[in-house]
Amino acid sequence: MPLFQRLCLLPVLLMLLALPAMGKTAPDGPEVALRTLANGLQVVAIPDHRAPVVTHMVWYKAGSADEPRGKSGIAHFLEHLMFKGTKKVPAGEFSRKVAEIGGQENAFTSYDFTAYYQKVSPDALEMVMGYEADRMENLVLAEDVIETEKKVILEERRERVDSSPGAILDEAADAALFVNHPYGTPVIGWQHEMLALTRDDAIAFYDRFYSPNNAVLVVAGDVDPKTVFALAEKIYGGVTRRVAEIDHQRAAEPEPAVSRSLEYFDERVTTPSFERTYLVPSYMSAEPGEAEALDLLSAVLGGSSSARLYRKLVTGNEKAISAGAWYQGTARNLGKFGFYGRPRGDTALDEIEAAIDAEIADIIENGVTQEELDRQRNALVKSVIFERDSQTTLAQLYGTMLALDGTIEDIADWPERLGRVTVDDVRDVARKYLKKPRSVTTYLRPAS
Amino acid sequence: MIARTIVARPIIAHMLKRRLAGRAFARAAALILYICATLAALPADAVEIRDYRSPAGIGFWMVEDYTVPIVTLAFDFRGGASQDPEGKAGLASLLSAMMDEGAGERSTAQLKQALEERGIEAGFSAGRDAVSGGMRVLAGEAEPAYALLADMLLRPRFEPASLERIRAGYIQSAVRARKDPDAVIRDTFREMLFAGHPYGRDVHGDETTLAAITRQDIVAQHRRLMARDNLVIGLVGAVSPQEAGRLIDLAFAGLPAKAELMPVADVAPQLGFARHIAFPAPQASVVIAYPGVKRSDPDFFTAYTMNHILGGGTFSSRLYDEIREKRGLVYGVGSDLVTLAHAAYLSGGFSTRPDQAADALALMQSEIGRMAQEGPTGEELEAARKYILGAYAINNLDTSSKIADVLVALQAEGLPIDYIDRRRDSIEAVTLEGVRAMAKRLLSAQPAVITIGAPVPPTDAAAD
Repeated sequence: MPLFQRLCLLPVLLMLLALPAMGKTAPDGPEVALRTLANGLQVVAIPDHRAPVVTHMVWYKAGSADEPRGKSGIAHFLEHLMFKGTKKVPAGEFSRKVAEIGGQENAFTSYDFTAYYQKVSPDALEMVMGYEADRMENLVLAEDVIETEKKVILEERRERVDSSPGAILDEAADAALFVNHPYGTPVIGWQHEMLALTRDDAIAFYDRFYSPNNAVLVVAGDVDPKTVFALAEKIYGGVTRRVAEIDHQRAAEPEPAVSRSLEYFDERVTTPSFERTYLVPSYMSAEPGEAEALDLLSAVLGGSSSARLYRKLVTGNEKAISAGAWYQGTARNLGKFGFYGRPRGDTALDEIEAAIDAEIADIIENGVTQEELDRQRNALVKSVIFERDSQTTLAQLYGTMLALDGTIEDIADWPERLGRVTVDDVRDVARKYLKKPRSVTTYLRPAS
Repeated sequence: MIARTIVARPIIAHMLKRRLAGRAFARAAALILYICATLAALPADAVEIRDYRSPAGIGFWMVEDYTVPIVTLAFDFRGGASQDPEGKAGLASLLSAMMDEGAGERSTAQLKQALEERGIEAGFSAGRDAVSGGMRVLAGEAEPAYALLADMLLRPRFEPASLERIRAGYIQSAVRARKDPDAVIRDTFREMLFAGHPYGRDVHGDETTLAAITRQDIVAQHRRLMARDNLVIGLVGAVSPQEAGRLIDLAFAGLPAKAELMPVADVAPQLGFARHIAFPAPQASVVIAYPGVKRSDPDFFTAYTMNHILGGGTFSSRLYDEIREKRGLVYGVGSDLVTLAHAAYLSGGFSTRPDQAADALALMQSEIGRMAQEGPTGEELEAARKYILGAYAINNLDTSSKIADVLVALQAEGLPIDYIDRRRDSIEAVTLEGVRAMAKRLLSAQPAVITIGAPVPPTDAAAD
């Protein structure tokens, strides 16, 4: 793909990849409707009539964290293979039909879910539903597509991981942070295991997880909920429930006891960088209110250019080119809380680390101010309204939440729950979770 | 178009999203704002575009829509990085980055806090042909938001400390880019195709040119580039046209009447060469370029359709089929018809394991040759036509930001407000003979072929 074209896609990719801090919708938010079909398929309709476009997504509650040990990459490999035809439909026909009407389509895989989507005009909704429902149960994999597509995912790994020193180190950092839980395994897979994946591995994963009672259908855009539910019943209602009970049991993480640090030297690196990641609960696993407090903690510390880290390190003492903090709480089992900093000029990486440590210590000791908390909270609550400007963002938000076994109320209540977080709550989660033994520190350095 | 992606690092993407809020896109992404927006047109049944003039006489295109209580603004100052003086490449880009570094009564920190408190997303970026800006705000906060925008546009402080900080970041990026094969091939491509023309320079500059830029340069460029006669504005959202005109005047009316732009020559990219850059990396990359067709050319849609069949679209082009789908040689492959204000070209490319690069390039050239010789089939043309007709609303009209960008792009291209129907007619007027002739005309030329990677020399075909 030409460089320009790849760059053009950046905003789209960001939108797709970026899971907002957490589910949210304004009090006067979209009128979201939910039904569950007899075969267990959850159906969400999010009307938005501004443009003659609908976004149709099917989310499977199955991602890389559900893979059998030693088969890393199979969830993502299967995602690619889902485009290779069914008992009824030859390979490429679905994509051709979508292209013929100017539609967009794609799919993506994460730790906890895999999703397939098309963006089409409303009159094509029934057509794409037909193809998507068909491949929910009728996938056929010829042996020859396996080896060809395996070459594609190996190229994908070279492009995404091997070509980026930061990605190589991130992969190692996750493997160190999660000593037992499968979140330590990269979604795309380890190369040696990808090489050994087979057709049978893909079919086994498909047969274990691709079933209507383990899936969520989201339709956002220019169609009313009544039509969505009627079409869903007609088209997806006949899909067989292929799995009685879905098993999301995963190896649990032991209580962390030892801080870890990793150093990676690479000739491609020109400026060193520092990252620290702590193991914390996710929205799905946290005690009530903790995840909301973690979101606000990350906002106060480092979510924007008026946050503490930026003001201290970037505009304040001018030691860093960039510095910030983030919380990733959208996960079935565990979340992550991270810090990053890149020095300016000849500032040593140690100085960046020391300055970030000082900010963490200050928050643990003194907490945050009411003014900071309110400012960051207002910004988060306002961002909820902006999300309503994009049917794709909304579809992504609701799909993610339901794929994690959350509810649409979790999204609707989010601003209210944020509103209940106090300055003490924020200090308390910092005290409880920002402890060095819970963390992995990474140093990315130029090879000398 | 892209490949089926994975969500391997959602959190990093989230960080990026926040950093890139609004239209303050990444350094790289800013380059291509226009390339993305080349095919601007609106189906008549989708949105209603109206042309207005503010009380102070500033023209703007608008879509009034109260579905979501927000107001989204996009604007361009035509000119951009092609106006950077010799030896000061990166000036327009630095200027853009400095626009929210303190303004009026507010220091950098105070301004950023004021924006954040009101939930205002605002940003500026520089492309080759324009400095672009945008702002998205809750309807209830429009008044203070446009007052802050006025401060940024009319009373920027360009604080010296901010300049040094931003310059340091730019220089770090420029140094880093030399170790990144994608950036190296992109830079080589630009320098070789447009040697001696402003398009040959890096929009974001390099260490030398960035170091040469002074605060005075930024002040002067702000005066030269940001004026009312090179401004185009698109506005979408929950506000009446009268109110919109008032807000636009609040922000823009104080600008000078006339920009001071240097003329930029039209340029034909230099092609007909092969260049290999030895660069050890896990993948080799290839970029190939042919002549293009400008947006203003009456045959634009013929060329666009031809490219769509060759390497555009989603998972359905000839290049995608032959190189990825059938042989698994690449993750992504395609081609693009790139149109700038003063140049056009058709380029394609991919990355792959170094030992596969020669085979993949030979395949690409053989597909291009086949297209040049035979053109598309009638079925391919029909499918492409349907795609191009249907894709517009789906790709461009589902968010206010995209619609606002379209309003700006249409005006920047000098297209009429009823362009929609003409666009449909133009696409329907594309004939098989026309596409065949266009394929022959563009793709029979000697291309530029640039390869980068471990020492795998270009094939004979490429060197010819």
